[in-house]
Amino acid sequence: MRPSLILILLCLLTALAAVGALAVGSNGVDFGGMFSALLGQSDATNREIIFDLRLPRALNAFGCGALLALAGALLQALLRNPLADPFVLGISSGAGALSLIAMLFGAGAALTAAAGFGGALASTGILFLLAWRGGLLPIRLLLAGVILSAAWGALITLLLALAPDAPLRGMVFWLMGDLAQADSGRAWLAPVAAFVSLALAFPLARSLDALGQGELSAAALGVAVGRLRALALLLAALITALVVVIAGSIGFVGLVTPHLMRLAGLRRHRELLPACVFAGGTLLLLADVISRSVVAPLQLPVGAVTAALGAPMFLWLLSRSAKR
Amino acid sequence: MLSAPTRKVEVILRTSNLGVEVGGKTICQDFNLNIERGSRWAILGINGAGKTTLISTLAGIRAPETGSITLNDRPLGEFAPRERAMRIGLMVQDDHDEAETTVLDIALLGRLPYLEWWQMESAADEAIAIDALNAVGLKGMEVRRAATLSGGERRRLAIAALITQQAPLLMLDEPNSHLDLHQQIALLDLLCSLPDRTLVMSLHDVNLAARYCTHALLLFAGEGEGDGMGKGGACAGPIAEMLDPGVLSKLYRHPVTAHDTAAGRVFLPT
Repeated sequence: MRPSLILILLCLLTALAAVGALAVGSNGVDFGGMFSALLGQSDATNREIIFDLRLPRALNAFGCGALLALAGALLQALLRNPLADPFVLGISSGAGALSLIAMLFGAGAALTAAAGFGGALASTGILFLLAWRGGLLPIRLLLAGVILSAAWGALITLLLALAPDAPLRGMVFWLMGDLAQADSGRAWLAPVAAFVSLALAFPLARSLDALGQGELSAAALGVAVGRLRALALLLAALITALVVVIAGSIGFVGLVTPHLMRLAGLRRHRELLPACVFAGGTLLLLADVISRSVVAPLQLPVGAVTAALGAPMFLWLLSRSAKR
Repeated sequence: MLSAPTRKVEVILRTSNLGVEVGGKTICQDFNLNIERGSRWAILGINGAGKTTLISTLAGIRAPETGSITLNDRPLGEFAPRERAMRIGLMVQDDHDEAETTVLDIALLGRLPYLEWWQMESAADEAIAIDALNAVGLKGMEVRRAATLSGGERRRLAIAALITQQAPLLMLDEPNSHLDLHQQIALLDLLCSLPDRTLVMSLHDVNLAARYCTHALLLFAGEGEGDGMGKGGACAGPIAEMLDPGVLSKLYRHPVTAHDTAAGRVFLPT
């Protein structure tokens, strides 16, 4: 299939998923209710459900999924490792640990978010310090990231063990990933950030393709490899920090989406990166619909849904690629 | 007495007092080298003598420890990376990924130095890449996954990418390693038939160097000091002067003898 056709299909899929996300929910507003609300012919309650509850949540889900998939694609290219995702380098664990500390001390949403962002940036700084030897060495970066991730993980376990009951439930839900956290006024943030990040990553596309053929080959073609790696890592780190702050840890979207798109036949990053934005956004949008409709009116944490969907999907991909 | 006609030789790459070290080991020091347009250089030396490091340095993707390198009389370090890549092509030893990349994708990467990030590869770029694939005998293989190519095909694909890059100075790190006899000859025939190219390649086969190259650069891995060579032991010159049984015996730390045959002079290890 032609790459442009795949991209068009993905856009259509995103639109369908968005309609689904607006029409499905525990409040009894269905397709008819949704359309009349969108056309402004519905009562105030319906409009409130659509515009103040479902739309912000859908925007949030799409934006976070898109960001995660984009960060995953960047990191997989940067590390030349198909198992890389936004969580493997410990950036999100750093954000998680500091956010939990803030919650433990009873900090409000804004302060918790700031602490999380600080944690992600601190983690990235430590990564640069450990992995920089006149340039970022992928193997050092990966090792440092895995160890950093383990260390933050230990701290998170410790915090959960020591936390009093009152903040504990919120902390656990935060860790599992929760798209309901964002208030409706700021729901535009994630999708806007996704398209801004795409615009920033897009100029790197051909250089990332060259990097796939090896560091020296890329350098010989005129790619400034050191600068490329630093830029890609920085962008992926900022993206991860933002998503963790908005929605907590949501796994598997960042890992699986780039692989799905490659298997669909998108090889070059100038096609892969935009496709990841739409596909990752759609995946998380659908996961969110499932998370709020399966046991409605209760909600499953969306991080659990993506992991439950993503783990078998990834194992399937892995067995398929092993056969070829 | 007639004055000899002065043939203008153009030096494309020049090193002055070049010093290259890696891991505390000196590969060459105070090394002066003039690579003339159209010449074909073989870099010879034992494993670990620093052939790869020297090639990377001459290709400008690694800075020398001391001394300077000029490309067309301009310091190599002053070239922007892509500007340099339009003039020097480098084929490194195998390092390929297992992704879905196709043969044409890889050949087209040779156009990277010429394209701004917002530009798509044009029909002209694609034609250059396809011509290059045809030249190396990979005609009709454009959409094949590169991971499914044989070792010889993979090497020819790398040459196609190098041709697509259209740089006048080509550097190749062991272009014929792991290839069968026929593939080695075919590859070197192909490289030497490229028009208007200057070649610098590291080789392990002295007889292939003698057959295909005009000049040789010997890296003695520290063994040649005090014999009128720079410290670290590098020397360079026309191939006929450099390939001498005594010198080669020292180079490879193994006795080498020369035998004159109907096919020319061959060197054999004893």
